[in-house]
Amino acid sequence: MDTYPGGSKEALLALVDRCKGGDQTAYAELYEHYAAGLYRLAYSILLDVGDAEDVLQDAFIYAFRNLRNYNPDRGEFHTWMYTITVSRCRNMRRRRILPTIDLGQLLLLGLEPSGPRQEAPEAALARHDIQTALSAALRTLSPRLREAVALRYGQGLTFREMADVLGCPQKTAESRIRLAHDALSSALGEHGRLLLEELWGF
Amino acid sequence: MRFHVKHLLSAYVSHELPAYQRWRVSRHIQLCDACYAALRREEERARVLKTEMPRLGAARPDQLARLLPGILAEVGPRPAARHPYQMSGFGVALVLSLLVVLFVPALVMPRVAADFALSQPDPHELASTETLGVTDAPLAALATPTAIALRPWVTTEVPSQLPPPAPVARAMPVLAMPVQATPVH
Repeated sequence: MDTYPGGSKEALLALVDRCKGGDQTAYAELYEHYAAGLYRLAYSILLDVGDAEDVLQDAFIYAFRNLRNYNPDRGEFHTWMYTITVSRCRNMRRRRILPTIDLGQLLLLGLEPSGPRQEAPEAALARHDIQTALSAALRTLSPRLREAVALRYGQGLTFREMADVLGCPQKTAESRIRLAHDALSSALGEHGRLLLEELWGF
Repeated sequence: MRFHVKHLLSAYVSHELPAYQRWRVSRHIQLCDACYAALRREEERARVLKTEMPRLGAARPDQLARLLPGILAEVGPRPAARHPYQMSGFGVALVLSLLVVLFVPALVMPRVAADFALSQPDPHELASTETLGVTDAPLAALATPTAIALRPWVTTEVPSQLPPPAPVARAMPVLAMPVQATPVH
């Protein structure tokens, strides 16, 4: 995602000020700029569509209600949003310790099927296989390592930014990424490596 | 060659090392085959993850648009805050209920207590009635003839045959008493 909506930090701060005044269009602008990235982050950590949507809604509601607490001198807005989202993901994970039943599925209402993708069938199949293998490998990681991978490679954060979001020293963030690399290599296994060779040619 | 640099390779690949450490890693991988191979693997993994991770969980446009109204409804303008001393209808009803529960029994209880209480003696009668065995008068005063006459069950005569004393394990101090009153059996 672009760092700032409107292209500059001044534009972002003006947008935040409008939100503080209760401007609904300003809320919508902020949401449209950050929602896609934050949803990917939540999904990469939780690996569940419904949970990621809940976390996204929860994170934005919290952020919009607490915009007065955001201090631009202490960090970037997107880092603040990442911190809120990761925190909500952790809360969601704790709640998932207790088993719950989806009433929608129980009543056979179902979820909307995913829309058709604009991609060639072979490429789409290979991409789907890779994504499936990557999701399966991510599931084997501990939550902390998954958070690190999602922030590092899903959002492109530096180790310094990761440390701010995760609330840990920078060396710890580097260590988590190193551990995640080893764990992902083991988890992908021979099948995953073959898929990557097919896709990437190595 | 003594100190491998595998722990620095992630930051080295993403150009996030300070200049000195970057120089150290560059110099080391020219001499150490193991660290050089680890660097190649690290670059490979980073390249795959940087490409594949952003595609993981990409949301559909309608999916995100569907969530926005719910968020705006939560953070939208709210009704004016109530005055701190202003109570809702529920609060008023609760307070009235508490008043009824607490004060109505308090108003009714005295009559109920009077109706169901046991008949109590007059305090003056209590003052004139001697309580058997409980008195603050000294023992000598109790031994006066008038007092003895009022207490026919008390005698000052010493019985001719006293029952033998019960054996005791050890000597007990004998208390001298001016009058020995023995109850009549």
